Amino acid sequence: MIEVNQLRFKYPRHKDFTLKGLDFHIPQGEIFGFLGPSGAGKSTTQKILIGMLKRYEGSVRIMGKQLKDHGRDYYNAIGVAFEFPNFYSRFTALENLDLFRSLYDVKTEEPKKLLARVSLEEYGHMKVSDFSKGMKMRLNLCRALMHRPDILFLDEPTSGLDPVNAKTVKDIILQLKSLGNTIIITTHNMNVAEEICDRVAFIVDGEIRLIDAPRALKVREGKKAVRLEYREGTALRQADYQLEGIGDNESFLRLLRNGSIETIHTQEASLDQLFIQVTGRTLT
Amino acid sequence: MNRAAQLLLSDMKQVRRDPMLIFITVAPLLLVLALKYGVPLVSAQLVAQTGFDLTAHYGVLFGTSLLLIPLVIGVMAGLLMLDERDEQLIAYYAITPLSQEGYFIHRLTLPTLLSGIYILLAFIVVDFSAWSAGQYGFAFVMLLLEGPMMALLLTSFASNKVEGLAWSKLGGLLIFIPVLAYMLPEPWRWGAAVTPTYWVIELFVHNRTMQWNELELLLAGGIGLGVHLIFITVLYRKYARMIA
Repeated sequence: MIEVNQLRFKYPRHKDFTLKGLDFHIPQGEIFGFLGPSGAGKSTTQKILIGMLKRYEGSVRIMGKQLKDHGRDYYNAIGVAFEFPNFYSRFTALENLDLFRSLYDVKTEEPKKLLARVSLEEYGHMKVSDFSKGMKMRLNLCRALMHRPDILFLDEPTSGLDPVNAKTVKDIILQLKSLGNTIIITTHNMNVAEEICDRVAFIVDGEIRLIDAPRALKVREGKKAVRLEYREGTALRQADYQLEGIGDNESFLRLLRNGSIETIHTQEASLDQLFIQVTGRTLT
Repeated sequence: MNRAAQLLLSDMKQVRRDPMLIFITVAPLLLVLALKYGVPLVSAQLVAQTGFDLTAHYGVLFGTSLLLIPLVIGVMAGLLMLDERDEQLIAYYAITPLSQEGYFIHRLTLPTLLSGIYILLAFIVVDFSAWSAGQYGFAFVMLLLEGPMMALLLTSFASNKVEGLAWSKLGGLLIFIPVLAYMLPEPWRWGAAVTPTYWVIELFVHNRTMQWNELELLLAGGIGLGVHLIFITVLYRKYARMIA
């Protein structure tokens, strides 16, 4: 669906390239996450893919065609939800959706149905200025889905959402994937990436340092061991055991048998740890 | 509903919900009424009481009043655009099939149409026998360009709505400069010829009663249009760089 080769980009009046030769392929129906600290080049990459930044070097093929050869029709095929929802604050949610829906040349969803999907059906006639951040984020998703795009670009899709609404949004994203949509997520949030992304790319200083499925990365880079927490009298103890030969490890089996274990965790790396390990940077 | 109608409807809703925009939309009508009824009344009073003949200055008065119409409406369009830029809405339009250029054309179409209607109304209700069709024709086209020019001036230089209001006041100089020039002797007044508004007023003050010959008219009209187009091109380029 998206094939990017040797993508380089430099902002006018900047000395250095912001993107220094990115290569990645995203097949149809994949949820792909861009992870990286602020200023790493995630947003620049997204801006290029959605056609906002045009003077890039390298090859960007989307839906079988160079991005530069796509006309305005390209925007009927992509949906974008920016991190900061941008709406007419004096208009109601429905008035906003009606306005933006009129910009598309393809069949669009009924705005009321979309609002219902994100539990905003009761707020259709409320002015957007009276919406909370979380409500605006959900409205933002509605607008991105309105014209049934094949490719969806979501910037921090669960930012500002409570756990219930964050789950609603994640479920919608997974449902879209099951329908064959391709979804590109830009985020700082490792949990979101772990939960819903098929693959993630770590971007640092304009380069992709790692790219793979979250699970594969975690297993490959983590320790093949388990950590147990158990009670010995009143004291809480901790012990690590290598997975190899664990079934014959007497100490481990004894703890299992005497029932003093309170927690057992495999020691695969978390995406956070992995990120720090690979990049030497934190996700801030 | 098609795109143009929906966008127009949204614009009308925006105007309806903002008292300042409502005022700006109807203010030109008050101006036209003042030109029709107020000016002759004041003129008669001035002659009777002070002997000052205002009719000798009708050209500059009429030209200045006409300029106010597109400039005020252009400020309105500029402030709307600044609002939309502050709210990142222009960035959103850019990633829809409307496109950034489509947005720009749409945003300036309604104000230009509105200006056009009010300018024509002013042409009709005010005594228009004093000027030739050619003068009216050139002035009309230039006046239509004044609104987009003002909107671009605001959006090219102001980085937010508050700065936009400050720039709109500075834009008022565009009216003041040709009036000042009108009071200066030759050749000093030609110094103001670099401002686009100068040429609108020049069309109305020059030989109000004696018609211009065709060559003079073509020259003044042509230069005036040229100055307008140069201003608009330079400002559009700056605007495009700013929103890129």
